[in-house]
Amino acid sequence: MDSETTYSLVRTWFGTGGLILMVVLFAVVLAYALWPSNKKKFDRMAKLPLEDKEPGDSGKKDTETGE
Amino acid sequence: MAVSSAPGATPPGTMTSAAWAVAGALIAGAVLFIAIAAKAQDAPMAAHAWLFVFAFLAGVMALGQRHFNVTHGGSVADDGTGYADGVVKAGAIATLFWGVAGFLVGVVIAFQLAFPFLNLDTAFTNFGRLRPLHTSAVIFAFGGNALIATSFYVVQRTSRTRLAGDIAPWFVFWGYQLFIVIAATGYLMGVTQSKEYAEPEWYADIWLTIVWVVYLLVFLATLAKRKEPHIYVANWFYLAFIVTIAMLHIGNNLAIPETWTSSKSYALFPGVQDALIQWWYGHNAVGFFLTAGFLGMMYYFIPKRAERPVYSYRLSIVHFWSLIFIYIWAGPHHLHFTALPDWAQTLGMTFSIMLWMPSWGGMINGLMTLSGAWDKLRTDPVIRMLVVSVAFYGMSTFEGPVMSVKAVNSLSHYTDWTIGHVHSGALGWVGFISFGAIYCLIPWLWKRERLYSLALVSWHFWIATIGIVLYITAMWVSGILQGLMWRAYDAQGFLEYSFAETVEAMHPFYVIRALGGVLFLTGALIMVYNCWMTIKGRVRESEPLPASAPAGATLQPAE
Repeated sequence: MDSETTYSLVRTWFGTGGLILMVVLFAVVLAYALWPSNKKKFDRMAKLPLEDKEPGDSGKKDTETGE
Repeated sequence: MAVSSAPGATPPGTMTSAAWAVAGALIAGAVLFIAIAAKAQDAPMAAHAWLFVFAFLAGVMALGQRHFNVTHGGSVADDGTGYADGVVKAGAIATLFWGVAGFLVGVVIAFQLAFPFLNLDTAFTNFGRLRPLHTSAVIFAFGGNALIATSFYVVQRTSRTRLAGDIAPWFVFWGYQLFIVIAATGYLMGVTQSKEYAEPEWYADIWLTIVWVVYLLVFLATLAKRKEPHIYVANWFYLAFIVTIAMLHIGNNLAIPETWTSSKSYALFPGVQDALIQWWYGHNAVGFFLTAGFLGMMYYFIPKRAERPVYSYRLSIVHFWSLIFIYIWAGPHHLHFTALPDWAQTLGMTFSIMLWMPSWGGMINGLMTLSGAWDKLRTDPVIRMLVVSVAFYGMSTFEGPVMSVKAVNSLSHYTDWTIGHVHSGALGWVGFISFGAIYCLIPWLWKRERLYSLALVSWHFWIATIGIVLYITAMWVSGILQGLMWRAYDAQGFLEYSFAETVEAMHPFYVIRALGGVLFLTGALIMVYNCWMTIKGRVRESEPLPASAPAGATLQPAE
């Protein structure tokens, strides 16, 4: 096989393989994001920045540390 | 105070075995660089070797001082149990410092383009040397420090755990500053490997690799001991930024130094391969440094400041993975109509157009997080800054794919349109989101109820916005004018204009651009003053606290 044929073979297979891989990956991501049982976790995570907690703190507030 | 969380350990701040190891490595490094300085083949190499020696020894001194402060003074500022905010404070100040420095050099080179005598006829102040000084200062020094500081802040809060490592975060901070100083002084002395946004030579690159790997380890180790089961989306973006930059930096800087005592190196790849690697790096520096990292910032500071949950956490997951899988292929659009194979150019263009979707997914998610709190746009200038940054993000990620289309690129490429596009992203998106984050962080970190003055934030916002608008409109007009003049033919098929004629035609727009830069710099100086007064604990007299403090948005940790 001359190098030009090898080149176009590799290019075609990588192109097709890449396309399939990306479609599959996207489907997996979409499934993970939309999976109903994940909803509760994601709803909690959406509010995470609003919490003010100290390291390791479970739910209490107003703990003074550090200084 | 002075009770360590680690059982049986020495008090925090004293010389642990890890601290001895770091000190030993620094001394070994200093010895190595003394040898390099002695054998150096060129003056810049000798200067930089001495700089390394000085910095390493300063590091050893700092470790020793920290130890004796504890053993003799008996007091520690940080007992090792709360959040590690010292390094975040340092990062916030460094962001302000490098921001002003980088914007100032930008203004200088903008005036140099309009009035060439400002090159001053010396090699050191020549446009060719100052331009990388500007780009590196704003992207890596200003943007990089903002990213490192906010990532250290956000990962602790969203993982509910202290930053991993005792010396390591400080090593990342100071090591990164050392890299910046080495890079910047190198440009002025003419040290460059001539790769855009990757100008620093081999020894600076190796140093940055060490610093960056430690950064990655600190971030990963912090995530590993998180108290939250799920990794919050902002951390995903920060992690993608850190990992990809490591990969890009190593890939694009593979080079062979002339000798180990010379500042000059030769790239490993030849010709078009080198060009492709460079723009794989270059565009993903935009995608992962200037986009992914700052999206991480957006996903913490906008919800936090607006006191609203993320609009759609599901969308954040989908657009995160889409963004990182698509961005990595977009680089070839920098090489349209070059020796790069045509299919690779088309691939770069296609992936650039696909980027519209994840980019706008992120923009929509950021903007819609304000739903239910739109009134804050009117009452809180910091929110206004954050939201306008996301709007600029949407605008420049719309413009980018348009410019990557070959037909458009044949007009826009090599013209000022590109410069305008970059600056709508850099000043509007990266600049404003960083300003917004710093305006949030300064009162939180120094435990102030509020910024010194919200009115000054408003002034900063408007002055900088007008500056950006002047800048990008001037560059649109100038770029399209330039592109059209380059492709104008007369009836005989000769080029209508000489290059110098296009330069003359662009002069007024260069002046407008420079004035836009002056406004942006002015805004940044107002910000520095405001932050300085906040750190000092002052509150502007005409804005007393209870009336104008945005409820709850300023107190940390409790409301």
